Amino acid sequence: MRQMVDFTGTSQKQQQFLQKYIRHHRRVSLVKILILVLFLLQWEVTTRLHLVNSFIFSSPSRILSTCLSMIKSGDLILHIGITLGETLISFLLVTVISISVALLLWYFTFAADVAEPYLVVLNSLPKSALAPLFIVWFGTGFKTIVIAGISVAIFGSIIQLYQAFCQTDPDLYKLIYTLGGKRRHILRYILLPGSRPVILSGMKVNIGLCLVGVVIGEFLAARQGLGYLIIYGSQVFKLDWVLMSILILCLIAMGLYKVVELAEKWYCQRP
Amino acid sequence: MQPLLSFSDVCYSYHTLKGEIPAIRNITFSLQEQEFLALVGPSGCGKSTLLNLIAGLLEPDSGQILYQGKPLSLCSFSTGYMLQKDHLLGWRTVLDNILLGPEIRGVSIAAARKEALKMLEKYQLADYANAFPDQLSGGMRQRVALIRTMINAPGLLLLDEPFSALDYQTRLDVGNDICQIIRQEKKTAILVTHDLSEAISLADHILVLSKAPSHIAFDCPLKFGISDLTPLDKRSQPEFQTYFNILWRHLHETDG
Ligand SMILES: Nc1ncnc2c1ncn2[C@@H]1O[C@H](COP(=O)(O)OP(=O)(O)OP(=O)(O)O)[C@@H](O)[C@H]1O
Ligand SMILES: [Mg+2]
Repeated sequence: MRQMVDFTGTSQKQQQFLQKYIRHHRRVSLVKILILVLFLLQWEVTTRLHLVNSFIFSSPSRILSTCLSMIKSGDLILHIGITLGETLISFLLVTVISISVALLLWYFTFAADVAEPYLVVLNSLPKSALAPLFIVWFGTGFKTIVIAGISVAIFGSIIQLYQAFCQTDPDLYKLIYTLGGKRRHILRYILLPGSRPVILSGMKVNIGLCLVGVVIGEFLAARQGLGYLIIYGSQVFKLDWVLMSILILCLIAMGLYKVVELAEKWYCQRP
Repeated sequence: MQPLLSFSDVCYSYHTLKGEIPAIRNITFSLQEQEFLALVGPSGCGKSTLLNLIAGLLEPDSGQILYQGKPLSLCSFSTGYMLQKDHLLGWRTVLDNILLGPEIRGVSIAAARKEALKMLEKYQLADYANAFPDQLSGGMRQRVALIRTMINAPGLLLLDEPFSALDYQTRLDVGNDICQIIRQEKKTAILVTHDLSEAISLADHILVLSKAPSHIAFDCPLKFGISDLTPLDKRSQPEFQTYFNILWRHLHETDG
């Protein structure tokens, strides 16, 4: 927080205000971390004292040692890499496909009106219901999982982008037409650059949704990846694996979000 | 002399699901080269519709619009349109906003850039060439919007209440500036405004439109005793008040 506020040459009242602001944020951060530490601590203590069954609930230290040994054998890196790779590929595909489809729908109003009810239905359908179908159609493995990842995010993303395109001020169309432009110029000079904030904020949501889809896919159709590790671990009662994978998924979800957010900040910065 | 633009018996209606909305009925007028015409009339009477017809964004249901004696659809002249909002694109610099027209038309950017810098210099905006629009005041933005229009060398300028979003002081200044620019560049312009005194101080000729479906209720050429007055000077002339009273009366007759 400190680097954001500037004390130089400010009045006493202003300094008091800033100090109060900083104190508030310090307290919030402190409590945030405290909750996490206390949670892990009680988890460890209660399992050590056999108050809860560490076979079912695992414990931070068991998770850590499982984690270390799996890193040493190279298994964990592989599982994480697979899940990450699948998520990133489906995310890239979602981004490219949804922008292209939304642009096409905007360009061809007739197609958009026809497609609307289908998109709405597909978007509200729980995508996990489709996963078994994907297995039958595409087999088990990489392709199915990427498709599962795409299916969760794609329809919402198309709808959101299309709506953003449609809400463009019609006076901007007038501007382009009177400057001698055609519909495709509106697309290039107004829609694409003007929708950058919507595209980027959509990407932040989509990366998380793709991870959800990929894990669902791995539950059903994988031999590798964190989703597979969770399902397999629960079947053979290796709950250390299950809880470790869940914790790693939390970290991945947070990390991916942060990466997209950074990319957004970097991209929105003016030269 | 052949007029630059002429309307004869032009009618236009909008078609909506709620029914047909006649906007313009039998409008006839003509506009000479380098003339500055102002359109005034009650809100919703069809002023913007008229400009859209001239810009070729709409086509008349009946009647004829001629540009230099030829039907509008056969002419390849460009109109410069300025609206109430300046519509500068926030993600482009001032210079790049100005170059939007040349980019779209695919003409040489290098030449256009040189021209743009010259115009920015001329209108005291040179320091802002590489600034983004949100760093400019409302009046500066509207001047940039004018340069963006002028750089395409439009045959006719269409100004749809371009000053009405500005505060009063800026509005007088920018109105003054823009009027000077238009006269210096020897442009023909049509200004739509709600402000009678603005119309009188800027234009050579005023048309009062009636309520929708609009027709021309009163045609008033303006003549000041002293020629070449600036818009601000015109406001203090005795003719100003006379014209104001006459136009005010006609405007209210059409309203009532
Ligand atoms: N796209 C449209 N569809 C249907 N009706 C329209 C449309 N645009 C304008 N109209 C109607 O046509 C009439 C004239 O509209 P226009 O915008 O030309 O008026 P205006 O004189 O510019 O009004 P204002 O002073 O408020 O800008 C109005 O009654 C309006 O309701
Ligand atoms: Mg209007």
